[in-house]
Amino acid sequence: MQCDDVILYLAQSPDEESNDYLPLPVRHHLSTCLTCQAERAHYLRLHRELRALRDVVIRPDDRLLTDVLDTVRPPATVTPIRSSRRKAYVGGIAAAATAGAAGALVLVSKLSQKGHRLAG
Amino acid sequence: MSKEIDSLVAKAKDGDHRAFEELVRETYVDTYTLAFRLTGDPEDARDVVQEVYLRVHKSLRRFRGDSQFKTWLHRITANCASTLLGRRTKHRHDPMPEDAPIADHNPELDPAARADTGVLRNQLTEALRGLPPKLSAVVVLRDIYDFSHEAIAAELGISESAAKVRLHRARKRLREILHTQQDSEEAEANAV
Repeated sequence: MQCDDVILYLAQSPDEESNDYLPLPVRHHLSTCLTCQAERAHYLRLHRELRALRDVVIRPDDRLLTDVLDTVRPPATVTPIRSSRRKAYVGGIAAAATAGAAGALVLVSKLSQKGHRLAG
Repeated sequence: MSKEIDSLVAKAKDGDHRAFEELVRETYVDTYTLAFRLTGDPEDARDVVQEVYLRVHKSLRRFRGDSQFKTWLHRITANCASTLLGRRTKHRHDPMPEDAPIADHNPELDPAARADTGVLRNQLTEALRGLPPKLSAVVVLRDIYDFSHEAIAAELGISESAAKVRLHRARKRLREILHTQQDSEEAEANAV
């Protein structure tokens, strides 16, 4: 087994601290190659340090909790807002429809007056 | 802690909103930590956390308890972060904010070892942030959070073999970065 193959294996499986879990050709190569032994030590250390990061927490600012709790507020609290929005929406449509109908009436009455004048 | 969380999950599944809020309080820092490690940006991490709890709120009833709640939460976080990163056209290399508080939960270590560990940990954190997000995500999920290759593939939307290749590349890059830094520090120390 060549150093490149062993190093590739070590990068894929850096968490095998005990030699017993290593394949026989890797174990055999490591027993005679100081470069690969050093490489293995580096990977094991890297793996240990990465694992240790699991216990390190990164604290967010205080606003995050409030924001998250606001996001998941129960529907009972949210419904009135939706309901009032819906009322405003329906009201807007009704107002637009009324304005449209009034406009149409004015137009029709003007046209009919024009018709009477032409006929006269 | 796990029993407390299990109890809160059970109550929240039954519609107890206070229990759900308590569940958020108990877990949001951990969720933020993972989100920050995956996105590398405090604002993105905040967005991810909000999306995570929205999803949890909607789908908690479907949580069967086959895995631990935190594992489920981590998978949702990984998925949300992956979705967010997928929308990014390019990776941001903003420097880590100086005031980002990092708490160490290993007080039993002696001061000298803590100093060494602290230096290496900072180097590792920086090295992780220097990796492209595709590579850092797999190494964070596998080597820090112990996700299986299958889970990584599922949450990042890639094949298992792609996850393995990325993991190998990420570890190799980290090892190179750290080794180079350590060598230059040793050279500096020898020169003094």
